[in-house]
Amino acid sequence: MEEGLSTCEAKFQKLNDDSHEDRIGNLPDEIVQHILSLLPTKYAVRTSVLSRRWHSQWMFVTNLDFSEFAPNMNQKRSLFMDFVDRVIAIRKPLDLNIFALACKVFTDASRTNSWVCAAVKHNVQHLLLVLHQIHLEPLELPHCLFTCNTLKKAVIMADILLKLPSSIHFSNLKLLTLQYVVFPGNESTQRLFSGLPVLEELTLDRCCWWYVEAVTIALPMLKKLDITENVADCDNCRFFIIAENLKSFYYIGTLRNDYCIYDSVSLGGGLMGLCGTNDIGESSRQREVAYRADRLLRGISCVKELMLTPYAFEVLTYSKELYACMPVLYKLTYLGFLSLGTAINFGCGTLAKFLQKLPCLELLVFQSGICLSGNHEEGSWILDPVPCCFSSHLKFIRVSQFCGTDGELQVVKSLLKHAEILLQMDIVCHHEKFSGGLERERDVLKQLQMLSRASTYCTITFS
Amino acid sequence: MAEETESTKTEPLKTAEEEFKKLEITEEEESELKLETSDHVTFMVEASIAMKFGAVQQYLEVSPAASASATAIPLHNVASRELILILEYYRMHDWVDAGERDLKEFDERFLKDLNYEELKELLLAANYLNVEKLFNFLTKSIANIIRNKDVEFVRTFFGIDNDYTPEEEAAYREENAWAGVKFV
Repeated sequence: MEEGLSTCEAKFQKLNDDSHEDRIGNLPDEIVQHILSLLPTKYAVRTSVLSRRWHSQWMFVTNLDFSEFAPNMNQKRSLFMDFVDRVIAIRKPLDLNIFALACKVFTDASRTNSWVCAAVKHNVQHLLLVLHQIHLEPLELPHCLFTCNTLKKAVIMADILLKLPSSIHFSNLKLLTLQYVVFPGNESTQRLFSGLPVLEELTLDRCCWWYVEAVTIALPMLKKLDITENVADCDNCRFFIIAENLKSFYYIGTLRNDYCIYDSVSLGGGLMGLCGTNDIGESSRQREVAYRADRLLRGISCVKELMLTPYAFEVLTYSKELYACMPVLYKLTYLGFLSLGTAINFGCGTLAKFLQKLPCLELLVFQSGICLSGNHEEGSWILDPVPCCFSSHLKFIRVSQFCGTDGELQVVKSLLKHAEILLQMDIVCHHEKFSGGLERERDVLKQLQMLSRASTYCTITFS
Repeated sequence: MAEETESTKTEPLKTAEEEFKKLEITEEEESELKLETSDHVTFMVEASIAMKFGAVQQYLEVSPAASASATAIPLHNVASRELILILEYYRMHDWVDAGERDLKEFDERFLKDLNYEELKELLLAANYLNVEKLFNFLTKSIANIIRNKDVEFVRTFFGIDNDYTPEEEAAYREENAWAGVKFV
């Protein structure tokens, strides 16, 4: 981006006062070119009709942005295609910072590929490709792209079966985002993930893994990994993820695929967003999903802060033998339940058991709310066994979507009774669903304040 | 003479003065640089901010003495009204407590208070001073201003005289039919 800043010569030469007045209307070329680089290319090119001086200013742009989606209609489309051809042909051969293109490929793959080649030839650093193909024909992106050593960030959104070349090596690629991409067979997919020696951020968003049975993602520099599964697809791929520098891991999906994560010792934040769908409800998948959830949780067991969907938590109980020996998350200080899904039921005992595996837990957040269902005589339920973090670490509890039922009150009562060093308990009411309305809200607040607390320093906020 | 007056001072006053001197020294350690704008106004600017200006860095590389001495660093292409704005911008963006939202609000207000001429003046000053963050902010803002505007607006904005013949202009519009669809 520094190209626009003028070079040091002439910096200290004093301009006389006349030229000082004069320069107001006339920004120097390099600044004009810098501004034009920040515009979508069609706006930059348009400035050639302003005046003679401006006729060729746009040709010095260092970004090419054709990301406003190209038209489908025949006549307009051919105008667009010709426009891109022409821009690439007559732009000055300067290095490119950004190249962005969004268009449907149809039968023009050779043309779109020639544009990508041109970007690679001009040492592009950031690449954004949004490509669509009507039929599931494989798309062969130009081979030169896969060995581009100037590329630092690449975002490819394409619902296309990728055909990958035999040689893949992105020596400087730090960030890779792939969305909707259909991966080819084992070997070529593996080649891609083996050619990313310095990758730090990887996002695999609703990609399709039909044709892949197993892939190893071993990336020593990887810090951030986001995986979102395509819920409707019949993927069944096994991922071996080895990333000793992984700091953050996000997963959202239905465990169509199997994730084995190794060596994630520096993991800070994790999200396991398991979505409940009808097909998991079928007993045929329950066992498989339970095993996969358990494996995933073990893979990220060094995590310090973890968000779970209530469903991900429920899944862990699907298999008796796994339930019996849940992994210990010995570094976990923060556990949050996302508000996607049902309230966490204390009645089934799973939570108490899970909390026992979290010896260092300091913050516990129920965005999804809490409930108490099952066979409990009124007032008979107790938190048993009491997790060890309640006496040593747990300082903060927040319960959202509180409806003021007897069950919830019982749970809160029990939590307060056992959390010995708790500093604060936040209760956020769900005002619409609150049983008994405003009158009762006041009543419940009074009851809460009367509850006995194990920790003398504990304050309760109610909103 | 001076010594005599010194000695007549009472003990507590002396210590107070010494304390004050110490304070001055610590402030000096915080260190400021003297900058002189094109309209000959001098500014004392915190070194931590002044050293963000590429032009100041370069000047000090060439004549390192200027950092300690009383000589002002001349900024020939920056007028005082621009330097005031630049300092306002950098003091805000340097402020550790400023959150992302504060900065966004500040940037919006900062931009709103500038007319187009002032905006371009400030951009030239930022370019001359070689201050990357402000330069990027201003160029990005100008790009946003001209993005969807018609040809006449952009001409007025940049103060461009159209020196094309009508035929030439028509031909170039034709040539950029795709890019130009919006302003036909």
